[in-house]
Amino acid sequence: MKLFFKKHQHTLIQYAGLVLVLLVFTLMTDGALLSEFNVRTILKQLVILFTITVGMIFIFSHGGMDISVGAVLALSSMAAIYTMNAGAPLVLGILVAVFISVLCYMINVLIANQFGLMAAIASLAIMIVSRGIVTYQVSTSVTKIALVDVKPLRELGRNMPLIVTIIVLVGVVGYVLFHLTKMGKQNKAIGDNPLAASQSGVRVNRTKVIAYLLAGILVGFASILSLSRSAVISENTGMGLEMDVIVALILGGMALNGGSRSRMSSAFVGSITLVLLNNGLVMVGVPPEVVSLVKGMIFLVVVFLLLRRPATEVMPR
Amino acid sequence: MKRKQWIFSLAALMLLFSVVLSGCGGNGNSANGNEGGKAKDNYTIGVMLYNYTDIQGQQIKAYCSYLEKNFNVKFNFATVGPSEEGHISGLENLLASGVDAIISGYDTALEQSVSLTEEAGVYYAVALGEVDENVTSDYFVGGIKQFGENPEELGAKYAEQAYAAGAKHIGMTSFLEFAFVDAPAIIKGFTDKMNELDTQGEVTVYPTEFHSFAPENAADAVTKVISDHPEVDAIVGLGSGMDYVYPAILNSTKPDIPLLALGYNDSAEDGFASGKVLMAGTNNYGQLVANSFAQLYDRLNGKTYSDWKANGYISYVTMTSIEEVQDFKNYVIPEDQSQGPVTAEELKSVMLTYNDAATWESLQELTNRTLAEIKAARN
Repeated sequence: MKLFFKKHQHTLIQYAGLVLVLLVFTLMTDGALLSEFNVRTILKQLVILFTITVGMIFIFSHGGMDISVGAVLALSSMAAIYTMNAGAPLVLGILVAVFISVLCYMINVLIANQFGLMAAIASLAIMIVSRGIVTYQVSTSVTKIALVDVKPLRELGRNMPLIVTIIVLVGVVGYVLFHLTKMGKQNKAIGDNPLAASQSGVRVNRTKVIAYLLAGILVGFASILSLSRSAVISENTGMGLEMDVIVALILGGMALNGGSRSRMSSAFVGSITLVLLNNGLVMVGVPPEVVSLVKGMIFLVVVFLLLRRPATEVMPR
Repeated sequence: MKRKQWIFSLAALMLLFSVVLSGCGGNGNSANGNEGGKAKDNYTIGVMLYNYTDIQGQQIKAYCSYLEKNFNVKFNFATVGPSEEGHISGLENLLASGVDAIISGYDTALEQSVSLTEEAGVYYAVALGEVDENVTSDYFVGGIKQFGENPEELGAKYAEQAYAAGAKHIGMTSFLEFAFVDAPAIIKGFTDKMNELDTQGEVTVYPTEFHSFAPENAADAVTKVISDHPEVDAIVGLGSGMDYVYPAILNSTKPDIPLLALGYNDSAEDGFASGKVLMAGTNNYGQLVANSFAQLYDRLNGKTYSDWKANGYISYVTMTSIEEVQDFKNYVIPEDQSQGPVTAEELKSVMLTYNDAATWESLQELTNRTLAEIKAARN
């Protein structure tokens, strides 16, 4: 038994947080956490974060870092609004949002690859530029930047079967690409040791570009999902999202420097744990003064447990 | 090893599906909302703010506690982020917790927020700002103008104080207009009043330096005012005046320039004593909550004012001396809220639930009393 726990410590920690949060809040809310209304609420919130974290797994697993996701999401949403307000159909709006997001991520990886800049610094530059464009547009626009016809997107944001389908589809495709394809494995190999990966025949830069491309597609799509809930953007759109993504991945047991121990399940476990945590704390009526403290303590416990993993798992290089 | 991992993954998947199935089993859309104003013994009202640690958050919470003691109501507080997603998630979480009504601090994603609350049969109010009157719903009770019915009058008040203090070269700083929509009206009120008072043409009001939302942005604006107009002898700080502009002036090359601040913090009293602050002002937190609460509580009891309008108004508290700061502490943010800006008895007298003759206008009159009027009512 002891051997089993030791052997599967990582996986157990990964799921223990989720199960604990689920159990505690279900008990504390007398089951209201799993009420029909609340499950719908959780799924609506989960779909955006999950879609983004699946994309981020590809970046973080090769040792990359992205802090531009919130700003890119805002920029993509803005582009989609302008497109759809010009009379374009929803599909074109989605394509434009995805294109803008992919463009941002391509510039990001280009800067990192060509100039040897740290990924975090490159994404910081993208974040500042994207946020700057959105803020400029919002501040110079005489009216708020909002969808004129909200109906098509609102349906997307409130259609439960569609939301569940998106979650499953993104999860399955993400899992297959990450765990069962050469690209996914090469990505993890780069995270373990880029030099060794390169000498083994992995085209490091090309693999990174594909990872950023996938992340860009998913962030662009997530911007549409986000827009389906708000139908409007402001200078604050996507603010703090980058931190939510990082926290979700850590709660999901992801080693932020990537490598072969990176798992797609971190995206699912982390996203749902964070969403449940935010939801449960309000459901229970925890005083707002201690909400951050509770979240911080849970986060610390997970980080502590992760740090206690064998060094080879956390810092493979 | 692989098999074990699959077992874990399968267990997780089953968990997801059980959750999803339990959630998608029915077709109801409602939380535990109060449908159509059906009266209940106890109501729960959700509150959404960015934080409860600054003076505004603390005082709003304190006034809510006072209301809990005097009405059949409980408050559930949620901290929300500034983004639309953060706001909507916070709103959804409150709806899921079973609240009957919600007081939101902000009009973020207003249309979608109102739509969500309407679907859930929950009443919704915006406490810290005016709302778009085109957004309508039976479940939306509207917003509140924080700077009184006419923000230009507030600007005029600041102009009177600056003129009385003998300021001749006045700089102004403010948050960007798109985020502080009342700024143009306040600035206009200030300049118009100053032109009216300055019959000799001795006073110059320089163009406003607009800045973003970080303290360093305000500091840059102050530096620009001072370097562009070295003769400046007073600054009107409209963007977090006491929190951002006051420290920026104190750290500038001209720390003695007096400030007229739209904003308040604990430094105000010392500022008045040293003459470095000529005027400070802040929201009347109790009036804000009282205005929103009265309307929500009435709606929950199936009562709606016949003269209702989408945007109510409260009085913005201004202070020009240490004595007024003391009055502010005694009558706007007192420990004992029964000595505060709106007592439970006063509020009941303008609520339809307790007084059939009450009107929306009478509620506005009650929640628009100045500091002096509140003080007079308590003595």
